Amino acid sequence: MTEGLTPGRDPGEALRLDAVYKAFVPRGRKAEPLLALEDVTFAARPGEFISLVGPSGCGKSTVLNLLAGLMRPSAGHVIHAGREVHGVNTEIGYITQDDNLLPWRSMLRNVEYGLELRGVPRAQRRDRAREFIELVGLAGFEDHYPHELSGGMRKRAGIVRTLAYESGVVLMDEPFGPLDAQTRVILQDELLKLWDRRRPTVLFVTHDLVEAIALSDHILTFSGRPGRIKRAYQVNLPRPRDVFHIHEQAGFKELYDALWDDIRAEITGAGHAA
Amino acid sequence: MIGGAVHPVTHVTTAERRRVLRARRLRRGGVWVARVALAAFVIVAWDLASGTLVRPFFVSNPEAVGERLLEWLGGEDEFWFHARFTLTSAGVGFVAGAVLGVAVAWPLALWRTAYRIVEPYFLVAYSVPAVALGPVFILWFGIGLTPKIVLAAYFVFFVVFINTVEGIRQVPQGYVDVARVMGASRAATMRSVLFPGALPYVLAALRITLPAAMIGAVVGEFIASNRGIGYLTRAAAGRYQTSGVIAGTIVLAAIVLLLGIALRPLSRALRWQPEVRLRGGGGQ
Repeated sequence: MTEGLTPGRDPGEALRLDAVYKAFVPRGRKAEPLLALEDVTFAARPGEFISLVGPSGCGKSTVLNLLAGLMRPSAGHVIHAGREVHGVNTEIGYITQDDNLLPWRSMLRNVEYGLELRGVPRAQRRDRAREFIELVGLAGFEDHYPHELSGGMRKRAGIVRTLAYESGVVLMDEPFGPLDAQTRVILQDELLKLWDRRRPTVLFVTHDLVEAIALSDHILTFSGRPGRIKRAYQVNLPRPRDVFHIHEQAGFKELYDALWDDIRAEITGAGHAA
Repeated sequence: MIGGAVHPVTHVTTAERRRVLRARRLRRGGVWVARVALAAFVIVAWDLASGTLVRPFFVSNPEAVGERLLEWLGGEDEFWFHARFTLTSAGVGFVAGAVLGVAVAWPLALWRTAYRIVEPYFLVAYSVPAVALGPVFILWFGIGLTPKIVLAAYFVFFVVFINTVEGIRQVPQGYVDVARVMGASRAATMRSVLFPGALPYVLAALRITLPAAMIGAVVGEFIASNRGIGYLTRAAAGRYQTSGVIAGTIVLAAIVLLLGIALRPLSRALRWQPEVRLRGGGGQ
């Protein structure tokens, strides 16, 4: 069940965490340091779509922040494209939980923003941005400001803003969290189509098991705090996937039940024996 | 066809629209009529009370004040000379205070430790009533234009400073993180995230401090001056000429009001603008 995630450095890996620990020291003199991640090791090969699932507060987002270089590990190695991550990692794309669209830029200029920062000439980045805006059905809303867009539109804009500059690795932190169930599934479908264009490596944090199965090649389950990888699952459903009917696929139910048993143990506290 | 009478949808909506607009117009018109009536009532009451309930020495009367105002506004140069003096010190003080406020706020907002070092001193300086500093400034800068400019700038500086710092700080960390990961340098982050993010706060602070600059300039004139509208008002008081005091006050209020109206577009300058909650009130 763990093929593709075997330990041992391989220069062809897109990213790797090697025995990573992350502790936070809260404010207050007497506060005990908080261990968020404990001995986390996994790797992803280029083009793999990997989901991290687990109870809230288990450090899934911390994994993304480490790879983005916004945090440093307390121990262990965080490696991207064969090199240790030092400082902010501008080689990856990071789609955060909040869409973080800049409210003073129109939707088009938000989508262009990453390209602009990377020095892509104006005409070229405008074309690219429009192409992606078209892909997610936002054409006609280019001049709207973020506060004039619906939640789903903002998510789409945030996602294509990052995908438009085509980094090899994309981190996504519960991007569909606050959306209603229908919009969620539609966006999952759109995301898979966008991903299929160039197949970047994706690390996708979610607590929705159906979403994880529908999107991923591999799923890593995390234990509650401190976050440890419990198990790695391979999703053997064929691609392209039909996210609207994913639960009817052969093998879906077994995988869902296995994941749910794993996670439930953590939520109810049975997994805290150690 | 269901139902009886045929009402094309556009008829229904335009009729409703007309109704709503008329109601709105009436309400707005009513408010204005009431406002003017209230002002007229106060003036009439003032006129009637003066000489009957209260001695004219204390409250003068509308005719005398009106006469004084006409004499000033219609006069060749004396009043306008004083008005120019006050507006100059307020204007120069405003610009100086605003530029200094923004300029000092930027490095301090970005460098937290430095801000924490100086913060208590700024708070102390801000809580000193600026009026109390008037005599000090006059001691340092004489009784000319300079102390009035300094006092006006002082009124402006803290509000602009505090709100610029606040404006920079309230920019969500997520915007900064996303920009950095997308490849923004420190300079680019400042230019494309922090500056536009703080702008509504700076603009709002500028809007409320322009009247504050006027107050600073006039306070300076009250303390020691031989020019300005504040001086005119004070001189009238010195001669027990109540109509002059009231006329001076009205002129100052009118200037502040006009400046406020002139700057109102600033609050709507940015289409995307969020609600801005200012710190430091209206400049004391």
